[in-house]
Amino acid sequence: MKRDDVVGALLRMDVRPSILEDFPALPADVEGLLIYGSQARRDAVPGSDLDVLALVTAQRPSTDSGYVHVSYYTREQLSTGIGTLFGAHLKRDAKIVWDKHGHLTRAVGDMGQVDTKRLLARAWSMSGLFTSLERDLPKYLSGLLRQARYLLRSCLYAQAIADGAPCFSVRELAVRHGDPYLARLLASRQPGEATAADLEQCLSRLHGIIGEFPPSEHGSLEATVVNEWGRPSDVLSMAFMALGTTGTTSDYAEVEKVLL
Amino acid sequence: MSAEIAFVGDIHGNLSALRGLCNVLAARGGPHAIFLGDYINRGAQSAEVLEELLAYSGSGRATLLRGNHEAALLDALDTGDLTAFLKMGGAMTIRSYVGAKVGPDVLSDFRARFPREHLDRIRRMPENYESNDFIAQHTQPSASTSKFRVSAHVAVGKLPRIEPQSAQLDTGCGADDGRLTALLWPSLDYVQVDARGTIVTD
Repeated sequence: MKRDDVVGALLRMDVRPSILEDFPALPADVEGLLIYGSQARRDAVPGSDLDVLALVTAQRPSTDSGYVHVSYYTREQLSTGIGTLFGAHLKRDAKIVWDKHGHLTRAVGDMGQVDTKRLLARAWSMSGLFTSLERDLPKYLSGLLRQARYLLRSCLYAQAIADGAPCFSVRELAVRHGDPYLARLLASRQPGEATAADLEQCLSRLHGIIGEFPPSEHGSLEATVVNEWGRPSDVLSMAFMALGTTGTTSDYAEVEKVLL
Repeated sequence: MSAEIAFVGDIHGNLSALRGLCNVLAARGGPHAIFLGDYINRGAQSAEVLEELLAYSGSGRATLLRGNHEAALLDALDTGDLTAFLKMGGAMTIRSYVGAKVGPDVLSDFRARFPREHLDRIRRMPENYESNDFIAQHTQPSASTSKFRVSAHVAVGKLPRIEPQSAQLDTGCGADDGRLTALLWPSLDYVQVDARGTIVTD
């Protein structure tokens, strides 16, 4: 499907034309496309991103183009979303734009319920990433904060599901927890620079949900990446993403995605 | 001494493929080999690949151009910032030089085990090689030249992309299903080996 055909289909789905100006050209091996998140739910506010998932045959990194975020998944990668929050989000919100072979529709249909116990256990294993801060700050503050926010948000959602009152709104969770600062802490677009204070705020709340973090096996973020390389794991993927992005992405190595 | 020249694409840490290709070239009479860069990362034997290539070029039978992965390695060691190198898959290169589990201070471990000679030789690698008839470099030369352009860098699939005025030779070496390609000049024939170093003809 050509870019212009995709844009046309998205316009018919009421996505604002101003966002679609940034829609990137898609690789030739795309065989399915969906949108999810606020644009798919039609509760987007000005400044909301357009979240796009493209089904492809070859792994590649996600891209950001203006307000358009495109994540690329192979069928195998998408199957790891079964039982995750991500899968539950897709099942609830996704709108299929195009599905050449029907694989995307089937994959979304297979997502099922969130396994909250497994999610919290995985989050705990990944939290060891935050136990070598003396060595990793300030060089990797920005990436560590981004990953801490992701873990905290995921754990809060999982906790709400486990408590029998699912909620995927940070603002509503802030009210529920009597924690007004939470909404600002977890807002998807953060003004200004990452701060150690915000990281500390995220980690203290994460402690409250999953308990004491396991000590880092390798003593630093960089050592985790080097020693774990070639052995796909949540810890490696989280560490790799915490390195942040530098320069061109054309030569970035790929690690497995973390789908909580 | 053969009058033929062999241009060789990305190797990315695959020693078996390098040795296999060198055997194929030796059987053809040992053309002068111009390696187009990206000797390290991805595969498990970056240190050994570089060691063999430096010996090969030291004998005068090969020219080693610098690829962007070698440039990133130099940059990491010069600035002390490993981030971009790690994002490119530099972990495999660091492991191949350190040889064991790295400690928390990865940069110190890596610097301590990275031979001074390797550093000096990488620093001296030219970016391109030019004759009256062709220009070879890691990334694609500008199409503004009338000379034949040889490059690597961008994976083009299992087979090299050979056009009337250019050739691209990165055929995925460093991955399990990748191949290492040598383009022969002036015939524009090519030879390939698979990840195990076995010659392939399909």
